[in-house]
Amino acid sequence: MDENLKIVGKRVIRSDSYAKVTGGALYTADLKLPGMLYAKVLRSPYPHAKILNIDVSKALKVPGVKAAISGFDAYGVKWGVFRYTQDHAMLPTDKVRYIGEDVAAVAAVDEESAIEALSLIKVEYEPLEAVFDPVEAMKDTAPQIHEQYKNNINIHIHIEVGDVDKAMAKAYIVREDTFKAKGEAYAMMEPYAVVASYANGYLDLWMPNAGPHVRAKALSNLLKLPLNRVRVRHINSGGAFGGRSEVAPGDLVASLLSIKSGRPVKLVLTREENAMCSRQVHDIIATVKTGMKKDGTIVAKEYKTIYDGGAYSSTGPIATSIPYYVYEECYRLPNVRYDGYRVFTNKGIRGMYGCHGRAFLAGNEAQMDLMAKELGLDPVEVRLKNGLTAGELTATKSKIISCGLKDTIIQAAEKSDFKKKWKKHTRNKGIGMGCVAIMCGFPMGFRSGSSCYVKINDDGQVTLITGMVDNGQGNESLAVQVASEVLGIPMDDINLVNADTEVTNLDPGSYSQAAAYVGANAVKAACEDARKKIIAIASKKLGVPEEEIDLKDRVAYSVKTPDKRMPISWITREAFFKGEPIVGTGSFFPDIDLEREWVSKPEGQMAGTYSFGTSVAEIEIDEETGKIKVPKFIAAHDCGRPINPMAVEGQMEGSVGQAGIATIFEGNMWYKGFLLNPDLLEYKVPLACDMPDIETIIVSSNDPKGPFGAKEGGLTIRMNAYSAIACAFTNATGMLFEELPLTPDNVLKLLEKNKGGKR
Amino acid sequence: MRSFEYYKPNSIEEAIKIMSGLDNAKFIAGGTDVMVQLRQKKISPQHLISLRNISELRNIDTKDGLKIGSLVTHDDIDKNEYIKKYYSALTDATSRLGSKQIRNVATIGGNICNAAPSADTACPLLIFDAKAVIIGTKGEREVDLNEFFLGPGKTVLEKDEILKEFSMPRLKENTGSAYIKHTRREAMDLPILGVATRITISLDKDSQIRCRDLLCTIDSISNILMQLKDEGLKCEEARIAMGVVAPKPIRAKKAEEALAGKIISIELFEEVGEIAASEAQPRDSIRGEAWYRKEMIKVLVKRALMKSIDRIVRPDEEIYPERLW
Repeated sequence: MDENLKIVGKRVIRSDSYAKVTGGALYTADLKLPGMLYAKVLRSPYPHAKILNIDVSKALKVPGVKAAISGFDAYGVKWGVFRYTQDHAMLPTDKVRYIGEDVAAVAAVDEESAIEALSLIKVEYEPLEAVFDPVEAMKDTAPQIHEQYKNNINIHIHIEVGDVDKAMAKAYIVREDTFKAKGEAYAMMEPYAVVASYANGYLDLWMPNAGPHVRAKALSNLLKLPLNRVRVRHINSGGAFGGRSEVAPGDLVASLLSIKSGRPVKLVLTREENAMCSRQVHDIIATVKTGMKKDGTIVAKEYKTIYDGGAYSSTGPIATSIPYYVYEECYRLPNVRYDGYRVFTNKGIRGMYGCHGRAFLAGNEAQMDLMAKELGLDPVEVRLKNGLTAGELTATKSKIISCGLKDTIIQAAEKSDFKKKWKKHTRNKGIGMGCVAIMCGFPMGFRSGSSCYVKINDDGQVTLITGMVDNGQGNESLAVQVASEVLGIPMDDINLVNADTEVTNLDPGSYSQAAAYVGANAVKAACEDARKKIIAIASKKLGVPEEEIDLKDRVAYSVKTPDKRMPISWITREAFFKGEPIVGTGSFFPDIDLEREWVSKPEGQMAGTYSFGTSVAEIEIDEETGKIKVPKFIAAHDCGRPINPMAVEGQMEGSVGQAGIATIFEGNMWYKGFLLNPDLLEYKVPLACDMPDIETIIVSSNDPKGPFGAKEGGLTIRMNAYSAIACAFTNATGMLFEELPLTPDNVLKLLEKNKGGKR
Repeated sequence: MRSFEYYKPNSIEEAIKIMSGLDNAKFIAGGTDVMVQLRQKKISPQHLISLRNISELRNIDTKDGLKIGSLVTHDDIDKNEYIKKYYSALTDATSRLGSKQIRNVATIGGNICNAAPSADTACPLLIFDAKAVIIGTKGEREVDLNEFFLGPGKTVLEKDEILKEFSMPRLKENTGSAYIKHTRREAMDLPILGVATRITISLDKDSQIRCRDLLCTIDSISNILMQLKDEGLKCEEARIAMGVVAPKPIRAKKAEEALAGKIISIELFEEVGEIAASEAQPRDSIRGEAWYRKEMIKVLVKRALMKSIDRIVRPDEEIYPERLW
């Protein structure tokens, strides 16, 4: 099949690129609807306080203000991703739980009037004792943030496989380390924005989101509106990174204001609001104990991990599990005990992150290197020895379908001359390697699958209708490219209608890396359905058997006698004459264990397939200032067959920035409940000039069920780039990082400690 | 952001006249600080008086020493070869401020009048003994830059005064300078710490020849210093200035004194760094804790001095090796 592919696997310009680079692409904040109002949100100044009263009456008297609301105008419904985590009212009426929580809002004809009106809303609070440290929060004496969660433990995940104690006792060496990592900001280029327009009983919404169908369902619950009356529409998204998976308080705010005023309402968060009040990344404290044989084989793993969850559940059970899973999907772990606790604190809500758990991985990987060193082994060999292969089961019984892990390790190691550099590193220089596996879609009930429709229009052009959503990673272009391959019609001739709940059918959205594997598979199925119909007509018209016909460059032709050919547009018209216009439908549902549950049954097939990857980083430490430089980075990723290698490479390179350089740059800083660095001056997102020299390697394992063999494209690097730098630090200094990120002051402290130890 | 009246005078006199007739007015040059403060609602002036049309503020004069008009942009300075060669520390500072886009509009006068303790150009101007030339309704006056700053955001400028230019004396022979901006990111960042140094050394003829030999080496400056140790390389004069270690950019005068007249060695530089650190009162802030800043003063003073020496002994080296130490 490889040889015959016309466009899949080619380096094509993404279908969305032109509009984006010329500024023509519109985002939510660009939207203007007739009579539209501007909303502003009043936020909690307290980390923890009882709400005694909210009075918006004076705000309504400001000229230009058309509506003012608080939680008392909502429907008393609490949101939760799971039935057992429904604790987020979005606009609370009982108490506020973090600084910046949405309390009330106004909509006015302009922003200035809205801001003026906010200052006239009277909220009476009774401040309560607050807790900011998850370990403190777990104590009996700590203030309770939610009544129903004792000791502020939101979620406890317990996984037990084999006999850990016995295996540890028999292990040749055992090592235990505890480390911490700061939470981070998503720092999407586009601050969150939403436009809600309620008219004639229907609510239309535009916002950057990672799954329109999931969003519409949540809003229909929160607003007590039938699902068909809540329509999430398509709009470009300026980044999500996992932070826009769930319904946001702003969605409810804008919707309520629009329903109240009868006019469209736009809410655009400031950069600071986006950092404080949307979603943040979990801080973690992890203890990792590993038992190893003399030959480097892992025999047992024991974990205790505490996740600082902030004020509400969000994706709690998932977030408490994923860091462990992406590790067990990569390495063979015969005996495991994992205890993950997600704990509430009076800080912003922590959600899923494109690289959630990478610090957990970094600790595991750096510890593995230290153990390898102790045993006189090479880290590459240890990874190869413990790495899973196709056909094997993970510790919690999920089958690895296709696996290019070995190739990514070998190729990244060879290209970087890893073994030699690791063994003989010069002072304050180091090299490190990180590996990981990523699930391509995980169980989401009946929303785990995707459906697609395709219609062939009268000039032979195509309209593709799918729920797939693009948060900037190129999913839209991916869908168009797959359709182009199947239908033999150039990408330019294919119009995409997507991420609109009114016209598209269910799709898991672009989280859990489902788009390439699940969404594109549905697109492929729908286009194959249409292709069959085109070929059937062509076969009759050309007088050649169906198997002999191929579609290419808008033409149906006989492979044996290429002179026998006709344009697809003629075939389309023929179909119209017959009263049977060509439409295709298709769907894909991944082979996953739907009985699997994050807390109650952490066992069974997790995902349709897994991608694999290996990162190698080289670092230099300035021992006088503690500054780390990353001169070189090599990333190898098994994405199955790359649909568009250029897009995959782009994702890998972006990941090196977001995850690799982040190891030395990024971290949220707090003073009690105040986020100290909500802006982009003090939250250090790496710039182009901070980037290392990057080499990317695509390893194609050709997944048997992926569309044209494809799996997700790039996320493994977003996870393991962090490990690579942490391991390089371990290589350079002989010690495990104690806290991430490795900021200069942190590094200097560690180096001092190291010197002290030697004395 | 509140709305405001906008004025665009064509001369210093006109600008001063407009200002003295208004209440709650502010001058604006490049706007890279003023606009940010407006949006953050830190200031809310009713009138903004732009200095952009006043061309006499845009001059760079190198006839005797160096005069830089207050409206000269960071990018103008970056591109000036004379400044780069003789007043290198200034180029070190302007080339690392913000980003190219910001440097295109941000002016050196604005950087100084904003009076942030972290102002990049302040340290270089301090080590070059710059005087601020100020024009107001009462006429012209000159103020030592050392006395120009009163505290964070505060200067000696009166309401109806405009900073016209900076005037720096001609430098002696065998003088080198450097500014090191210590940041987390390579661009778009404010310094954790900024250190500028200027040093003048005395070289006898023999030393000059040997120094010239060193031009061809790619040795690190620490090695060169080691080799030069026996030459009796003497520091004639030195200036050290530090940013973000006090409420305003300051000179490390005790450290300067400890350096003057001494034979140069790395040990001396380390000693001087210690003294400079003792002259600073850094605070804990989000960009760096006080202990870290103090430690870094020691490192950066030493490095800036080494870089300054490097520029004397290897003046024609276009690209300085990244790690001189």
